[in-house]
Amino acid sequence: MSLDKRMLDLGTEPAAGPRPNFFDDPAMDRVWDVLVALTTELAVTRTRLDSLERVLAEHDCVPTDAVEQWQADEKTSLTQAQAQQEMLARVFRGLAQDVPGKS
Amino acid sequence: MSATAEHSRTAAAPPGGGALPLPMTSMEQHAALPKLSHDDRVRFQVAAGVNGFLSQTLLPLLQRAAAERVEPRIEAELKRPAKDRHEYRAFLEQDLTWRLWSRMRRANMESVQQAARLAVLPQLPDLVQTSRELIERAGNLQLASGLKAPGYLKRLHSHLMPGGYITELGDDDVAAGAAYELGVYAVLGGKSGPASDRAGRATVAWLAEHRPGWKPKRILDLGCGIGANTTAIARAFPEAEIVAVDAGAPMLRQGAARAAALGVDNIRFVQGNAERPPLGDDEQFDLITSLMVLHETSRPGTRKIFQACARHLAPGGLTFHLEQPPYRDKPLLEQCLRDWDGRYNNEAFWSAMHDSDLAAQLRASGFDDAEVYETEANAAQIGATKKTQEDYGRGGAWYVVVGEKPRLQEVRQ
Repeated sequence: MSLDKRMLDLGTEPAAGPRPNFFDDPAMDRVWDVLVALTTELAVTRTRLDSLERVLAEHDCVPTDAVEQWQADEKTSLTQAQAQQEMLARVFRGLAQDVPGKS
Repeated sequence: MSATAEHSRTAAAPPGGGALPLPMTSMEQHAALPKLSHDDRVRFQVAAGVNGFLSQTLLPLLQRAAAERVEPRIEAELKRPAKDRHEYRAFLEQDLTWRLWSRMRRANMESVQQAARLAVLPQLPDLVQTSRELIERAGNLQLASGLKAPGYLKRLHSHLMPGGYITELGDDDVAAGAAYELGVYAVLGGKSGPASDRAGRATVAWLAEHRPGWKPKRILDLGCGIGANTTAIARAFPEAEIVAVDAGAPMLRQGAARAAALGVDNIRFVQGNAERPPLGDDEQFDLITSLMVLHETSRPGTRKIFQACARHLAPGGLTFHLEQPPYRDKPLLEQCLRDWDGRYNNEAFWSAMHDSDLAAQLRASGFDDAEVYETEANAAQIGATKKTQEDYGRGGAWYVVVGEKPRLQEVRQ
């Protein structure tokens, strides 16, 4: 499903209230905003690919909405969550390795 | 599937030792629940995974950074430890690990809220129609058109939910409630149970332990939101008549539709300000609850809520207010971690409430002749949460203030 611009604008409205920055240069805050979103979307994409592979294996011929109609059972979903953890471990490696007192 | 079996289900432990976020399909399904695409379901699960990374991996590093970098710097500059969390935080905010942890936490919260809204908006007409039908059939909703909601609900949107609790996008709007239902499940990674009701179930468990066999006949739940916790209480006391009050119409519509869709028929959802609940002067309740509500209101607001409890609590009745624990006696770093929501997650009264003495406030609000005490409720006791790394402010370890009114014969003595 693709969302039109009006829907995207409405859905992207910020919450009322202050918008804190945590770094000296606000550009760094924005880069991190993008990185978190990018990481999420990449994980979504990888999971979709995984789902697609499972769907392909389950179907002799594949209808276009096969993935949309397919729903992970709990076991698969937890397996996918495990793969998501792996992805997070890779992308956030630099943070996890920056151990205070070790550098 | 029995409710007990469903509720005791927890995620398998990943190699890191934390719990995996449950899939969105583990949510208790009902007719008023927004439908999610494949990618939206995954998006929420990944967001819960990011929160898991923040609490399981980055938080221990932040604690280490505080001990090895922040506190030595405080000692070096002040020649003494920090005197309070405000002084401590000024140094903490300079630390790289704090900045990364905070930025990612804030960014992830904003992402979740956007994802919930973008999932709900395209199907809003269908959700509105479904909720209209469910509510009309159940007759369980009483709105107050023109209610003057507290101004802070407009000025500051709690936990970064765009539009907050009260904004209406159209007639009979449920967007805020529907998005909230998705968001609260996603943020907690399903740790609050399939029905996102662990505070309600912890309340029921506490009552069963402290008043075994007690069956309150009339129950008032103040600040019910979408009534997830109210529904847990209603299921535990199916013969009780429950009145659930909230200021937000979209939240109440979603709550009423949700309860109707789940077949819970003993809750009446009533729009009103919890500071002045829309009740008759002589209306009495055996049990009055507020679950994770007081941090959303000011100190005068809390006093008015407590005074309303005093007015409407029947002799022998019990009032139960569940929150995250107060800051007093907590180490300064923990205070700063717990205070994050107050400063960066649009929880306007979070800091002031956690600095205040709720038991004293309750006592001074018409409970001077009642037994007032502090107690605890814990999600681990109901099997809803495995004991993992404490995620300050998000965990299921709650602080409770209770007021018990004497029975009539005790008053006469």
